[in-house]
Amino acid sequence: FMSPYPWLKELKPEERGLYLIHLLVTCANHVATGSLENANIALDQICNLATPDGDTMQRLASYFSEALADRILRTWPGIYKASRSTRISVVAEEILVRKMFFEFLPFMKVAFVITNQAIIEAMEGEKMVHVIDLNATEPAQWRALIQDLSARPEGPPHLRITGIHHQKEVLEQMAHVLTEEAEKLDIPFQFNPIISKLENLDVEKLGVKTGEALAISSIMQLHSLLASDNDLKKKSPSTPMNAFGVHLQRVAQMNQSTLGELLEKDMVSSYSPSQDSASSSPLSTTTSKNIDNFLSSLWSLSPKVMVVTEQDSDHNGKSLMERISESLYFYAALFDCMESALPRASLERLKMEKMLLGEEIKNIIACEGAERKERHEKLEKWAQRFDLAGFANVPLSYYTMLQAKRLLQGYNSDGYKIKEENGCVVIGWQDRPLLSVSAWRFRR
Amino acid sequence: NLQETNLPAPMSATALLQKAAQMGSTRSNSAIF
Repeated sequence: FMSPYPWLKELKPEERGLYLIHLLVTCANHVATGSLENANIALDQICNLATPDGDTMQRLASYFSEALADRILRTWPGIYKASRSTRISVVAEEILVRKMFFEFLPFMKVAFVITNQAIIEAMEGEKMVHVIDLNATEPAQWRALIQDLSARPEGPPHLRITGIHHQKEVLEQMAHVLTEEAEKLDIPFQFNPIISKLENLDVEKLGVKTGEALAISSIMQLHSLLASDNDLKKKSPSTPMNAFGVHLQRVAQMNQSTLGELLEKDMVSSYSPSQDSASSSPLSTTTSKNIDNFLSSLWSLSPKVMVVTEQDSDHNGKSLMERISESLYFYAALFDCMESALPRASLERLKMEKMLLGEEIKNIIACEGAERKERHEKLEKWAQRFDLAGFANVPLSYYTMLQAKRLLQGYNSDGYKIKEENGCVVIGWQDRPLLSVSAWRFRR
Repeated sequence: NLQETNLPAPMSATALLQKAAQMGSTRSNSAIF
């Protein structure tokens, strides 16, 4: 059909990108203040410019506009659920796209290398080693650990790995790969699958025995437990509807903040903690039964080491506008990274952007309360939480850093950055921190 | 149009966000904002 805005086609990529940003922020403002007709107009214009297989800003705008539309539709739960009622999720596809993310980008590999090295160093001389994986998805991580442990000067330990995942197929595949590897290297090994979501995990079921040296690995999982008590009671943002189409006008106190003010407060949050982006509020850790309970139950297992990888960005702000500003920069960095790693026509890239990054964006922007799981927070917020829960930091060793740096150098792109910060590691793309990896131990 | 054969390196999404932030805050009355 004839585009109603012929001049749009003449826009150069840079102008189009800037206009998309303007439209996204304007649309978010309208969504936040409940003026849905204006949001609809902005979304319509975005859809004329954005496409999931265009340049990075066009791709980013596709997923952010989809997330904003998703948020609006949740105002009418009936319409929302009906519009998705025939959706089918194919577990094999989900496993495949996670494998791609592991294969094509270095982030998971670096997290695994650091995690494994921290575990090996903590388990030196231990005869009975028990590793609990809070998100058992990639067998390659533990196959590498089995290989390293079998080559130990003091000989391999008895090794037990407890893998937690909500999908049976994932755990079956992991059991097969790890058992085979352990047999090949002739080390005594046992895999203990636990099919469960993290939030309803019963710590007793982990079967930790006295005399075992315990290690816990958590890769991008703990943030899903951050919905605090008052969030859990609050339902998703559906508002009572008195007449179809008429939506209660929620006059937010937020006035029409200009694009600059919104984005400016987070111009470039550079690495060094001293000038960290102002957006991370100082000591207000959200006190929530969920995460605090979970951490104290992990503490009660007295682990020798717990290695935690988390997205290093504050996507857990109270308001939509706070979250959209931080997440725009974070996912822009990730989409830029995809652009440098894979061609625009790559199907793998499209799948990763849609099924992994796009779904995270949708959860951050569209959901509230217990449904909002992608509650990523900065490293120092996590450090405060672990400290309060009775854990002490275990500085990552020089050798660990060396291995991580060497791995990154293998990806011939100077975009990947790695930086040590108070004994922890932050991995990023160009100036943007993306992942933090930190090790902790049980403190009496 | 053909004359743009050697396209300048496309601006990264991050660079666009930073530019938008600067433009937005200088209250410039450019056509876009």
